[in-house]
Parts: sequence; structure tokens; C-alpha cells
Amino acid sequence: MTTISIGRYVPYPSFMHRLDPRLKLFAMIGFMVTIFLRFASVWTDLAFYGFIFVCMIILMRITHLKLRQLFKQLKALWIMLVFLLFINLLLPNTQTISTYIDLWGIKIYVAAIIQTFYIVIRLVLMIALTLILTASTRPLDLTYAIEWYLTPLKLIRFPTHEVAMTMSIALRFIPTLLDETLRIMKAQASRGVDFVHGKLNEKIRSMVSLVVPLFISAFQRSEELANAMEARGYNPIAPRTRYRQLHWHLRDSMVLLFMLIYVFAFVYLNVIGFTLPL
Amino acid sequence: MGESIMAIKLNHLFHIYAQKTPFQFEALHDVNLIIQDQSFTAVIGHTGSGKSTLIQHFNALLLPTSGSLEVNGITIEANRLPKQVKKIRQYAGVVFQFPEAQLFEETVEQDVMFGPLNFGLSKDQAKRRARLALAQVGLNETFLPRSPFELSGGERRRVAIAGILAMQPKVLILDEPTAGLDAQGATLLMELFTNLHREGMTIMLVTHDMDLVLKYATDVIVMDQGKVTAQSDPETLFYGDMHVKIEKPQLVKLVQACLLQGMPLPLQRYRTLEHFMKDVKVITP
Repeated sequence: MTTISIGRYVPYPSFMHRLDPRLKLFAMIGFMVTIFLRFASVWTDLAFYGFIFVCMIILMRITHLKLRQLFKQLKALWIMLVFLLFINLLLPNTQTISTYIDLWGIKIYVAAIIQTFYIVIRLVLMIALTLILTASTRPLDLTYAIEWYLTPLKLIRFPTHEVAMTMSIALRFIPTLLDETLRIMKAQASRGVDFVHGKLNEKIRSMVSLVVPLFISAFQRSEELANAMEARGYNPIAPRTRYRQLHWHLRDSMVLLFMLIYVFAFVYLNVIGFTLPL
Repeated sequence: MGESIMAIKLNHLFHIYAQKTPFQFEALHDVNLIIQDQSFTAVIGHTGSGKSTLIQHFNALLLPTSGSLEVNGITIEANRLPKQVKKIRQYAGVVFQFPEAQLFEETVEQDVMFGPLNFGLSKDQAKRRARLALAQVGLNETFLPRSPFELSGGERRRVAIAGILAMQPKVLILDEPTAGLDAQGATLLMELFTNLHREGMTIMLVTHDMDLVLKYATDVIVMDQGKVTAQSDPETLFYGDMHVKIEKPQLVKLVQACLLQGMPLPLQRYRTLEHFMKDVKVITP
């Protein structure tokens, strides 16, 4: 029963925190594109992954995130990583089958191991990215940014504001529901429920004792919230002003320029089939 | 069933939330306490003074960051979940704030049986205990087959409390059990707890209601910013001049105002309004 810190906003007066959320969202997508690009040779890939990783470490430094926090997230994912390795070993991509090691009659393809390795690296980099974004951006600012990106869709009568409102409410209630979960877990634990040990049917029962009260309280909360919003005259179609305005600064333009150069450089190198001479 | 007279003992207990993160917060600071067996101990203090953190330690739901505590002779060391955690939880039953949130079964009976079944009782035994516990909280047998979700708020609260009583704990820990109840419902519950206390149960009550403390408690623990600032009996605490910042009970304010006005009252430390009224009637013809 530890407090869950993944994707949590950590207030700091850092450069990263001051950047415009729209820019940060764009930068994240830019980085993601570069993470998923594959170059002509494995060594080139590794070199570029190394480069991105160094970038991530620098960005984490700027955001006041410690590397330890990244590894903590990975620790929660290790079962998934082992599972991935397994699947990749058992079901190798038949097009890339090349060399293999014979291990007591089981063929282990080198390509499969490399494939898994790629997935792991990408996963680590992606987690680092999201960690940086969520730690430096308030959830509300993030939804503003998403709403801003969705504005063109208003032309086809897409309810951007409602979507953004729904998202911000959902984000707002994540910590509340987590607290509630912990509270109910504790209450049931003192009634003798063991959430960790026990046979399968006992585990299912203990989950029921957690999930049912959680659902009830979630429904209650949503009803209360809907009533409160209506009581204050909330009208989703009405034109609205905004309490927090997003301001685009010079530093945002600088970083945007930098990001554009970075992404285009990567894509260009990829298109021309750049390989590192080994 | 230890022969010792302490139910719970705390030794230099510290608790720090989210240690080594920007959210680090010291909730308990060097707490040393002894909760006597068969006492009715009230824990008072402002919101955020560490009361809830404290009582969660009594059930090993939170573990000390440093220091230790002893519950029924079982020691809980810092950051280590004791092996006999079930024994601890059966010995000390916790009724959390708004306990009705923990109800989940289809019928009231099943929900009250849930605790005893978890502690390894047979279905028949659990059924018997459920009936007994529900009778204790004043709900008759017609409630047994009903869904807990169709009951009123006060009834749900009582079902939840019955769910803890059915475990037959030796120590009953209550976190604001009367919060949000009407006066009648609150009195009913408090009478229940006093009866249980009279029958030999150790009661621990976290509350903001000083009049309840004065009327029912035998022992008071005052907490402020994670520290225990006083432990005494309620009369000394509220009528004496201890240097602790606390809100005085309405009754104490009334008695002291009457004395200031020069009413010839006997210098009594009244604990109930009824007692005070009797004396007032004697001196006023």
C-alpha cells in the first residue's frame, strides 16, 4: 500500500514547468516520432537511442526529476517486460529470421532478442517522456493544450469543449479515486481481507470487496458533481471565458524551433538511409 | 488475552509520508503512549494533527518509519509488516470515518459476516455473531436479508459498525463515528460504546466533539502537529489549567461562566449536563 506517484505533477519553478503546455505536447509527439524511427543498421539505431536517452536525462535534470523515479516506474513494469521477451522468443517475426542459437533443441533467434531489446529501450524512453511531461505540466494545462489542438475540429461540429471538460474532470478525479481506493483497502484490510496472499477465489472475493464500494462512491461523486455544476448554471454550449490563459513566450518559440530542427534532422537522416560507419 | 494492563504501547514512534520525495511530510513525531486496557481513551486534536495516522498504526495499516509499537504483546517494528498481522487486526477493530463506504455485500447479514469469515470462523458461527452484533447496534432481524444500499445513512453506519463488532475485538477504535449523524443517532451510538466499555472492551475514540470527550472518556490524548501534547483524564484537562490549546466543552464553558457570575455552585468537575442541572436546581429555589 504505497502512494502512487506515476504521472503526478511536481511543482517546481523550472524552465520545463514554465514552457507552454501546447509546446510540450508537440515536443512529446516529436520525440515519440524519433523514438520509433528505425535506421538501416542496428548500430546506428543504438547510437541514436543513446543520443535520445542523453536528451531525456538532461530534460529530467531540468525538470528536477531523479533517475531513480524512472527506474521505480520500470520496476512496476518488469513483469510486462519479461512477458514481452517471452512472446518475442516464442513467436519470432518470420521475415527477419536469420541466425539462431540452439539451446537444448529450442531455437532462440538473435533477431527476436534484438526485437525485445528495441521494445524495452522504446518503452524506457516513452516512460521517461511521459514522466517529464506529467511532472512539469498541470493536468488542467494539458487538457487546455489538447483542447487547443482540437479547435479546428469545431468546424465539423465536434464538441471540443465538452471533450476537454470531460477529460479535465477525469484527470481531476484520478487522485481522489486513488485515495478512495487506499481508504477502502485499509478498511477491508482491518476486516481481515488479505489483498496480497491467499488462494484465487479468496483474491477474487477481496477484489469484490474493494471494487463494489469504489464503484458506488464513484457514481455518487459523479452525481454530486453533476448536481453542483448544474446548480451553478453550467451550460456546455454557452460561450465560455477561461480563468487560466495560455501565453506564448519567446522561449516557447525558441524551443519550438529547436524541436522542429531536431525532428526534421532525424527524419532526413532516416530518409536518406544514413548508417554509422562501423 | 494478555494479563498485562496495557492494550497498546507506542515507543518513539515516527511516521513520515512519502519519504525522500518532494511530498515528504512528517505526520507523527516521537509519539510515546500507553493505552490502558479497558480504558475509554479519546484522541483529540485539529485536522491534520496526526490522529488518523496514529490509529492506522494500531492495525498495522501503516508501519512506523522509525520507533515501534506493541499491540496486545505483538511488536510492530519500523517498516516491517508483522507475521501475526491478522491477530492484531482481530484484537483491535477499527471503525474508519464514514465506515458505510466499506459495505459491499448483497445483504446486511452477509456484510456483517464478512469480517468473522475472514478470520476463519465457520458460517454458522459467523451467522450467530452477525445476529448478535446487529442486535447490539439496535437493528432487528428484519434487516438481515435487506440490501445495505437501500438503508438510510444512519442505518448503514450501524451495519458497518456491526461488521466490526462481529469480529469481537478487545479494542474498538472509532474514527469520528458520529460525524454526519443526527443528534439522536449520535447519542444512540455513544450509548452503545459506553455499554461495550462497561462490558470490558477498550474503546478508543477520535473526535472533535469535546462534550462527548468530557462525558464518556476516562483518558484523553491531545495531539498537535504530529506530537502528543497532553495525556490526562478529561476533568483535569478541561477544568484544570493545563497549558494546552484546546477548545473547551460547552458544559465547561457554562459551568465556568456560572461561577464567574457568582452562583454558589459546589466546586465540582461536572461531566454531564444532567448532573450540573441537578445542582443548579438545588441552589435556585
